[in-house]
Amino acid sequence: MRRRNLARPAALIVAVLAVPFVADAYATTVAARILALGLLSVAVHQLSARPHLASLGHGAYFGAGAYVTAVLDHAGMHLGPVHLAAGAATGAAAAGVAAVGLARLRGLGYVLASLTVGLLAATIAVSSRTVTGGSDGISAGPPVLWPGTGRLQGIGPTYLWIAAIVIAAGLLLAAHARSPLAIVLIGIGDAEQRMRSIGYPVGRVLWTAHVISGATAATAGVLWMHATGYIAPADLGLSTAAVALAAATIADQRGLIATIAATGVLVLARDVATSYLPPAGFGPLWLGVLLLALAYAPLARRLRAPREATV
Amino acid sequence: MSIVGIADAAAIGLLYFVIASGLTLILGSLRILSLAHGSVYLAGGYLAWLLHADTPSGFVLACGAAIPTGIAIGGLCAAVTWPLRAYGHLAQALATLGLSLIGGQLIAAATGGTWLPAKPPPPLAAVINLAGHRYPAYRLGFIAVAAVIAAGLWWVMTLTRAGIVVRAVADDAQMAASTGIRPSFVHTGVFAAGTTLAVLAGVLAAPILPAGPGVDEQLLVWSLIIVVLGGPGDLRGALAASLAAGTVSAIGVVVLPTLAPFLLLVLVLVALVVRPAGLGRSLA
Repeated sequence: MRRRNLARPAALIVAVLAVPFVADAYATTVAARILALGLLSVAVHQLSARPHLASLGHGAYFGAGAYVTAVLDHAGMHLGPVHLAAGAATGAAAAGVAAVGLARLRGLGYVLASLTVGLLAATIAVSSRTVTGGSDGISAGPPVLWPGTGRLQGIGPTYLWIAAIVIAAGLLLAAHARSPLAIVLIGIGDAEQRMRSIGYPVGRVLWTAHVISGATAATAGVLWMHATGYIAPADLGLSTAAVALAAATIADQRGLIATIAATGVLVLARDVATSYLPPAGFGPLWLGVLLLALAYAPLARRLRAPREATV
Repeated sequence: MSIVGIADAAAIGLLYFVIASGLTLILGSLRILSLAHGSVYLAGGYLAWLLHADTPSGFVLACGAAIPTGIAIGGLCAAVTWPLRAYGHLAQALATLGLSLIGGQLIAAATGGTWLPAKPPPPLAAVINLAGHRYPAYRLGFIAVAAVIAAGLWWVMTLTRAGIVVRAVADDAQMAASTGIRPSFVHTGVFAAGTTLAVLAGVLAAPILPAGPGVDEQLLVWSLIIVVLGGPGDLRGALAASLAAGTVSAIGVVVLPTLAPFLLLVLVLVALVVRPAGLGRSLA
């Protein structure tokens, strides 16, 4: 029975790792971006699915990971694992500071405050021109995986590196989903007052959840930098945060595979629309249409559902 | 702080207020986080550019056109968000974000996605002597108009029947409905009023902050900071927060130009730590 449960994820992992061998360079590049953004959605999903905190501010931690990678690369440190460690630590620290305030809020207040933090991070990235390159953004070369070896050449090896990290992070987070912390978070989301009265330290648990989520989002930022070699303040703005939250909303109570798949659908819809649907270069317009459709989806479902009989 | 610094702080603060007051009205009265607010400001800037607001007649025309434009856009936002009221704030926020992206792209298509330069109309384009310093007359005019808007808003919300109805629906929509008030009318009216304020801000502030790429997100940040600092729906709080943020910006730009955005972040975080209960209670 257990083996059958593992068959689907195992087949999926093989399929993910096979992409560069069966797809062309463009498709592999898009897949690498989807994996990086998918991990960002997973970070948002950790907070939206369990304690029901809908964050529109994860662009801040995503940007922290990406900018740390660029700064380290410019300083001569090209090692990918060091980028990951430094990026995740910075993201966790940033989330730790923000969560001092954010972990006290719920509902719309949380959405509002998280969005403020995220957009302020984008504003800081624009104004800190000497470090971040301002609104022009900053670039970095592909990572080095082992001291003494060269940078990764071509999108194929880069994709495999990104896929390996996303799979490793996915396995870690799957283990985390079965941990007591995750169960307490679900309890807080469903019945906070009861959890408080039983004696759970709600504030501390939510703070820890933010730190883990921030580190995950920053890891996504590092991988985004490795996938694209470029980050600009626009990449940590509202549209990125909205795609991540929309994917987390679509995935709802399903796991992280569904979250990454939802991100893939949203990114493909946006990018394919930009390339193939008129007018040219209007990706955000079609993303807007998609978000509207997503907002109306529950209403459409209810209209289709059978109604109670009336006498 | 010199007289010019005080005038700058007041101008920036009141600019923040005029933009954020619409958002705080919508958020406080309807519990809807309208993410289209920044794009609505762009619509105002576009209106100023389209109707040549750098001439006296064009300026009057643009200000007049801002009202029906704001009502139309607000009516559209209200129509889109009203059916979603039973599906939580997230569905409504996503819907307004969708509208914002569509509107932003339509404006970019109409203008070529470039900055829309705007100059004050001739009588206000002059530079006047302010306590021995040269200062743009338009900014002083803007301070006066924004102060009138702030006073008018306070009067409407506190002393008129319309304000009482809006507050009644915000407090308890079912009870208000049982007394004969139609919540859907209030929903549309508040959205129309809040959006009109943002369009009007776009026209009036075009010579100070022209519409262009990225301005919509920047203004959304400012508005959110004001709402977080002042408390959603609290107009007096929004005015105080706007003037505080304006002062921090005016001083920050002169004293610590690179640290000015960090100062705003610190302000927001301190507000969240010091008064989370107030913010949480009003929006829970």
